Amino acid sequence: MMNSASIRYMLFSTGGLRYAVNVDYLDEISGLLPEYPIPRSPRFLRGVVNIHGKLAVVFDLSMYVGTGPVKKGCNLLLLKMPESSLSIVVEQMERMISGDEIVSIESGVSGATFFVLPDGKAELLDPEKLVDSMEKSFVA
Amino acid sequence: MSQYLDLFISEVREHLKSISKLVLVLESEPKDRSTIDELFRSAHSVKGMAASMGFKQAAELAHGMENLMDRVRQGLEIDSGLFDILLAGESALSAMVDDIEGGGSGGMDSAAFLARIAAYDPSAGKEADRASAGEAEEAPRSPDNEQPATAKVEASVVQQTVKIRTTVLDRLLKTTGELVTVKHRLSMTSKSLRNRDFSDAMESLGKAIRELHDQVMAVRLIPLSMITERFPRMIRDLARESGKQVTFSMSGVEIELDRSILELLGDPLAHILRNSLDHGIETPSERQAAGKESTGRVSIAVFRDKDQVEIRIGDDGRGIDPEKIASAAVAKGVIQKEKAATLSVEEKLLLICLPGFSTAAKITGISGRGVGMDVVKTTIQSLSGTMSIETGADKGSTFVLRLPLTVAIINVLLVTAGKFTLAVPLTAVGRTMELKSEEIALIDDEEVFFLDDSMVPVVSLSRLLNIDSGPPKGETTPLFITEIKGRRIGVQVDRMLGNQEVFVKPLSRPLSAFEGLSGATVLGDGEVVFIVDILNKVL
Repeated sequence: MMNSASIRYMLFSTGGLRYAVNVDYLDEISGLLPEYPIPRSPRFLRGVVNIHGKLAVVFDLSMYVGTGPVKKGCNLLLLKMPESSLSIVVEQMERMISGDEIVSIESGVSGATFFVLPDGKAELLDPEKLVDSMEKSFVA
Repeated sequence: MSQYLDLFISEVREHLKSISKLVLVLESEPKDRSTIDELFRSAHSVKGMAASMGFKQAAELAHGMENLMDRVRQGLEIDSGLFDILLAGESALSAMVDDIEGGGSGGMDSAAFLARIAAYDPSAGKEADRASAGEAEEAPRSPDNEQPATAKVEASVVQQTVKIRTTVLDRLLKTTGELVTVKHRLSMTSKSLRNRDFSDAMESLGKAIRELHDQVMAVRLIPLSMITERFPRMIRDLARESGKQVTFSMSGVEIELDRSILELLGDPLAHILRNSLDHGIETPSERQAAGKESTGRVSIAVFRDKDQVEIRIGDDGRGIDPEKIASAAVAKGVIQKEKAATLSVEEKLLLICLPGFSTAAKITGISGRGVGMDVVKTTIQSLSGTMSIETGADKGSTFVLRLPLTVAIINVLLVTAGKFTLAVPLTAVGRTMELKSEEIALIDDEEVFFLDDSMVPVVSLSRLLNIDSGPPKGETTPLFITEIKGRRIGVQVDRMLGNQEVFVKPLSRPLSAFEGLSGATVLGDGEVVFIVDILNKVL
């Protein structure tokens, strides 16, 4: 397909939607941890957690896309990025897929990319772009 | 080999810095024998090091400079051309070292430059050819009989010092910081255990960690001169480019700061200096017309005040007109006219720090691209520092930077506001107090109280940070006094929890984009607390 077969993605769902993230971005999957509130933060940032001495923002993706807060989040997906520290609240970790499982790729509105898989669709998450758009929303 | 290469690069750079500095000394005292000798020795050392590492062209260039200085030692008459040649040589060698560091061979065509060196003779142009031929045949001196006089001293110093990678220092600091956090955790356990032996051991541990912390911080301290020593050369070159006459002085640059602060401070200081020269200092004719000496003055003066450092970058130029700044900001659309009218003089001056602001009539190579002062202010704020401007028409301008000496482990006042526990750096806290409700008056819709016979406004931390907080609890209002832009403010909080030493964790994205927070820390019980950047809050 369009993506290299060797690239692997993690499939997960949150807020009733399904997402795929390149495994190169995965740092750790953890259970929920004590969250500490952030002054003046938008509602999609639930707080910060202390993971082995490293502080990571707890990001409610479901809230961010407007489908309401995650109700039954059970895991934190800690992402690995050079200048950012972000963990996503996940309702369900699904499985790892490789690029050759992708049947086709579709473009959604506002530039979103969807993988069409044998068992349904998953939106490709670009963590760098996500952090960029989050920061823009703070300024706005 | 690579460790020798690293050593070669760092040592040659040190010599080049020294050459740059010495040329400026020689420029002001052209007959100073010790400076001439030192320049000769530095060039000789660079030549020897480059040759031993097989960097032929760098060795040849340094050899040319060494020969030139030897001719000066023999009595060659000198003029300003010598300084230009030496500085050009230093720049060329710096470029070669950069190339070598990037994996290159340092190979550059320096034949023309070597010919220029050989031809240098201000007293007799015709003798240049002879000098050139003579020098070219002269063999390099043996290091044995021309060894720099400082070599023995260096040898004894080498035994006492060791070069450490900065990443190791960073890790050491991080581990020490974690130890501080663990110590607080243990202290809390110790209190609940009520075991005397355990408490005594905790006290000893606390002392040992404090000493370790002090030592680690001391190792990380670097004198400000490490970043300022390039400035005399920079000012000289800029003055030449712009046809201005300037004397430059520095004082207090031996004061030491944490290297993480110094690393970020070099560019902001350079930018302010460039601005001073470009916008502040007038041309000699303009200065004479204004009744000033034709030579302008630019200076850096550094003072230490407890655990803070004040850096004053001043000039005696035309000064900054706050009204002109405000009009320019309105014309550029960066601020509304109505808003500009309400600003204080200080606030109008700080408009130059707005992104994209520049009052330069034309963009020059020195400054005026309008991308600088906003970066300067952001950098100073990211270091929990502040910047202010003192200026007067025709009296020059002084940019005043106040910075902490260290940033990693600081003392904070822990307070609560609404559901938040927050940390306020003690450097921002003048004093703490509790006010009875009748001591607070409402004047012009502003809550105030009287302190030392002067009126001090009261603002709640919740309001400053725009967070929810219920009505005041209890009969008294706890507050701390801080000074923002020269004005005392009483900052009201819900509760004071006391002082604590904390390890500051810098905020990464996306939190770093939040205004009003300068970092976070983890308390003994694992609670994550944000550090409030109170000094940079705009009231």
